[in-house]
Amino acid sequence: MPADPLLVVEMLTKRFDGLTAVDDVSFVVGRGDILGLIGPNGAGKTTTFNLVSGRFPPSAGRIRLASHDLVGLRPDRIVALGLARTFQGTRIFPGLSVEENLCIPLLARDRSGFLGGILGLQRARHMKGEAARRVAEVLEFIGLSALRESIAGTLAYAHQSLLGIGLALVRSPQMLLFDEPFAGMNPAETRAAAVLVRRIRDTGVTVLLVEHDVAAVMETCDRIVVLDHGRKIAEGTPAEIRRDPAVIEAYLGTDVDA
Amino acid sequence: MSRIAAALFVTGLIVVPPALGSYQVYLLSLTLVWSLLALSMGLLLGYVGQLNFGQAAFVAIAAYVSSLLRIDLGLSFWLAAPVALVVVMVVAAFIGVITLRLRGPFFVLVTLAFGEIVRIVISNWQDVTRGPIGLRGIAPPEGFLGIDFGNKLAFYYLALAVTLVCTLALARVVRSRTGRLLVALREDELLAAFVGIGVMRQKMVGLCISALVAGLGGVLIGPLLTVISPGQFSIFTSVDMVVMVIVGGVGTLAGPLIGAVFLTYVPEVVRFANEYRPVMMGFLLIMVTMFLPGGLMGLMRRLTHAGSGAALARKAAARAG
Repeated sequence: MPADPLLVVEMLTKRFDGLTAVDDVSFVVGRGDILGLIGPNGAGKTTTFNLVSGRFPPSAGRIRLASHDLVGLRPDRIVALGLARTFQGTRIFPGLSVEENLCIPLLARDRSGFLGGILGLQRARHMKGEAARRVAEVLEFIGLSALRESIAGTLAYAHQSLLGIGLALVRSPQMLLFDEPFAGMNPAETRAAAVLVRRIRDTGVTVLLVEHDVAAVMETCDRIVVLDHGRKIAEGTPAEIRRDPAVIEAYLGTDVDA
Repeated sequence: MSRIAAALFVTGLIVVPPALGSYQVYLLSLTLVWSLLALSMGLLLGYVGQLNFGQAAFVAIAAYVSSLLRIDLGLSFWLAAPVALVVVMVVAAFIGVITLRLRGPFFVLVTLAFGEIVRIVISNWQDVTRGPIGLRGIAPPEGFLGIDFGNKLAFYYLALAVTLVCTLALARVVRSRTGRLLVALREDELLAAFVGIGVMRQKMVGLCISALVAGLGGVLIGPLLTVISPGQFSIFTSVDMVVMVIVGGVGTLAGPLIGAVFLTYVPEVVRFANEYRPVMMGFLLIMVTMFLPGGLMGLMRRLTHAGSGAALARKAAARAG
């Protein structure tokens, strides 16, 4: 049990028409930690991820971020509480420029009220002051400052995925969930992405990542939770997980070092 | 450049009509009303990303509520119109709650049903709506400051003022926070939700603004045509709006305006073939989607870009030479 828990997941269960995709899973992510969620295909890690991020509600169980109960909240409310996520593959707003992309989450945050929004009392395209500074800061952090004017849909895949991370970061979340951040990457790209994840953590953001690439998770994460058939079968440091007989059993038939 | 062109165009709209015959002025007023309807559909298609085949119902509700308040309760146009607009927005909010959760074809089907239900209710609620015969002899808006809106030219200027104010207001909305969030929603709804946009709320705002604009067209239609009947507000009216937006160009405000002008005047020119209008609309839609994605606006943009590109190339060549 971490000394300072930020995300607490208790007895989380999700049933889809008789199939129990996630079965009584509990884990805790300590503030400032990087926790990896791994498991063979169909283990329920993506479902767990979607439950925590609020994409759909759990059948049972509790999810708390600091003192807030997240169960039943809409995604935009969860984001407002400081829990952001990225998407597998990468999602961006392809028709907008890189800079306009990063303005969107900040615009969503700054509620100018119903009438103010309609009457356009706030000029939106060029943000001022604190918001503009934050956008510049994130551009710098993800290394896309030079491409700020480019239309996002025309960027190279690697740049698009950086922008996807930027979209999640720009509202300064307490916690960031990565959905398979290393998917489709070669070893060099994976190493670079792992460095970025650690840099994000070093700025004070707690990280939960779901990933297929076991080796990359071992190198990146402080703690690991292993799921199989919807149940948690192990939890511990990378060294502990490597030796765990239940984990080796679950991955038997697949290549553990892959 | 486009700013100057727009200013010239508006000046023309103000200066030229007094020199025209009354039929031409009537046709211009009709175009303005269609412009409002096309704008309302353009906002929905281009910014909320929804195809509403029930849009004509918003127009019908505004037209009937405002006209009935005047005929049956003796209200002035200037009081009846705002009441009708409020009613339309309330109906839109109600429809939004039901339909905006639905996606793709389901949304389209429900709005289609909504449009038909409104038309059928108007057709059959004889005691109130006078049924299929409709309302006749709708008076022009009450005059003030010595302006008589019974004069076709005066009514034209009223319609022009409403359309201009509406266009400017929408241009502002599109650039506002609401507009930017709607564009983000249209680009990727799932991502939009997870960067913190209240999806339903923004869509509702978009739908209500769209209904308000359609309602503005609706309150003007009665006095313009002097008769309204349920047949005018069938699904084909909604389809016409969609065609105007697509022919003009989706995702811009100028697009629907251009589409409305084009599609009010072209049928007038080929009036003798009026019964083929739906066929022509369909044909036009297919042609535009196949050969002119981006509509007339897209075409114009490509032409001006090509022009400036050629100019740049010439300049570069001159420098090199």
